[in-house]
Amino acid sequence: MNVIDTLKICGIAILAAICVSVVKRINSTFDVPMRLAAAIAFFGLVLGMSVPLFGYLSELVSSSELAAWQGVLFGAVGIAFLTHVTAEICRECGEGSLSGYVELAGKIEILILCLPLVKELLEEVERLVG
Amino acid sequence: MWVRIVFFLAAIFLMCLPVSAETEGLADVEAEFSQMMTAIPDDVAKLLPDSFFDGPLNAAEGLDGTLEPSFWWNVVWGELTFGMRSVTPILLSILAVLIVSAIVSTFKDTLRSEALSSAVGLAVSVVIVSFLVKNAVSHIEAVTVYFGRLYDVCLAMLPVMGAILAMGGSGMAAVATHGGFLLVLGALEAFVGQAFGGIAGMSLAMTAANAVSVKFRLSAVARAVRKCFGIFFGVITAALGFIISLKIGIAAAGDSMAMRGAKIFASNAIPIVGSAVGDSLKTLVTALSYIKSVSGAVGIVVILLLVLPVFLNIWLFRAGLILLSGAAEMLGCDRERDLLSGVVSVYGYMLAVVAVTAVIFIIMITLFSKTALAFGG
Repeated sequence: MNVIDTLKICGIAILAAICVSVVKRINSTFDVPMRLAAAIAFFGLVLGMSVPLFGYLSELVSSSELAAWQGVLFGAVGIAFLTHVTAEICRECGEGSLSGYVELAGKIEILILCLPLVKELLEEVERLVG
Repeated sequence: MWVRIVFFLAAIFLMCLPVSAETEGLADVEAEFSQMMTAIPDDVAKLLPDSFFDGPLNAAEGLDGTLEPSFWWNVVWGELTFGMRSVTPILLSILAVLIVSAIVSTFKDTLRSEALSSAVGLAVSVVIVSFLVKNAVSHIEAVTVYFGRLYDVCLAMLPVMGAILAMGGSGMAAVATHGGFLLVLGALEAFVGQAFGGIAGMSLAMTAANAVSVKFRLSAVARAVRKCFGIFFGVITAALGFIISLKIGIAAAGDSMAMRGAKIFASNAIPIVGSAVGDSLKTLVTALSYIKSVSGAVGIVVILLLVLPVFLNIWLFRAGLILLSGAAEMLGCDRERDLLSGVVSVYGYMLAVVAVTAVIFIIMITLFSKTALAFGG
């Protein structure tokens, strides 16, 4: 990634915003699909940009003593990422309550992911205190 | 002189057996000597010179080697190197997670939903907490086992000392010595051997809960629990130290630059009881010199080799956690910094327990040697 790529992304984002507002004026039926398409395209773009970053972080954690827990770490980040994007798309579509439910589901998913660790932690402390 | 060496070696054998109030005869010294050597833990035995295991005559020659500073320098350097090799990967792993946590925090801040943001923070905290607690639990168990070993050694010495004093006609002294030490050692065992694990566990659990959620403000409770433990521990060790000093009557070594330096080092390196340990260094040096002159060096060598690895390992890990706490602050991971600081405090108490126990047990060996000398003379 360099400055040219950032300029390209900014240019595409501005173009998409202009296209959405023009389509909205011409035919409001295509407004939501247009916004969805732009959001999904940018989601794909951001995902592609994040791959080397998360690849490096995964390498960093997997070569350490915490390799067993990298599933929890990156799982939580991935769930939050996906949930955030979905909630934003729902808000774009005017479904504020739906976005709230999606975020709640994401939070519960992350808590369920952490559950085995919490159990392990409580067992260790119980062993010590007992 | 040789009779005293042989007697003390036989008496060391008794330390490794269950408590008995009767002394062994001198007839089976060789068999008892080899039984004593097999009773020495493997991790200590590998540090002793090979000639130690070739019978009492060769053990005396090997003993000369252990009294050289170079022997102890090699032991300390070896343990430090070994300790660093085992501790460094763990500390680097925690640093890796701190870096991941810092990067994830920047992503977290872009999340519109605070609930999601706190859930991601929770996941990262739970991973670090689990890892730290697992390592802390293994260290706490090692300290409890270490204390148990030295406690068994001391408990085995008491009946022998009492029997020797009684045989010497000092019946009242035997009863007073035996009873007084038994009482205080029992309190120490109940407090450290049994309660320390529970108290450290509670402190860790509260620190972990505090780190996992800011709503659980338990750090003050954890500090209060540790402070109470520290006060009771200090009182018990002061009582035992008082009884020992009354009995031994060891005049403290003279003041010197080296002694002042050692005292400053002890006060800074050992938390909570550092100044008490520093103050006892003069008595400790005199005790060691006394034992060395009366052939008690075998027990001292074994006890020191029991103490050093545990002390160095915990000290190294604690030093590493202090550095990591600073790194967490630099990376802006406040929750992780508070967690690491809490765990550092728990390790501080572990270090204090190890240091004070070692000092008390070395002084107990001195007392035992003095009593043995009375019999041998």
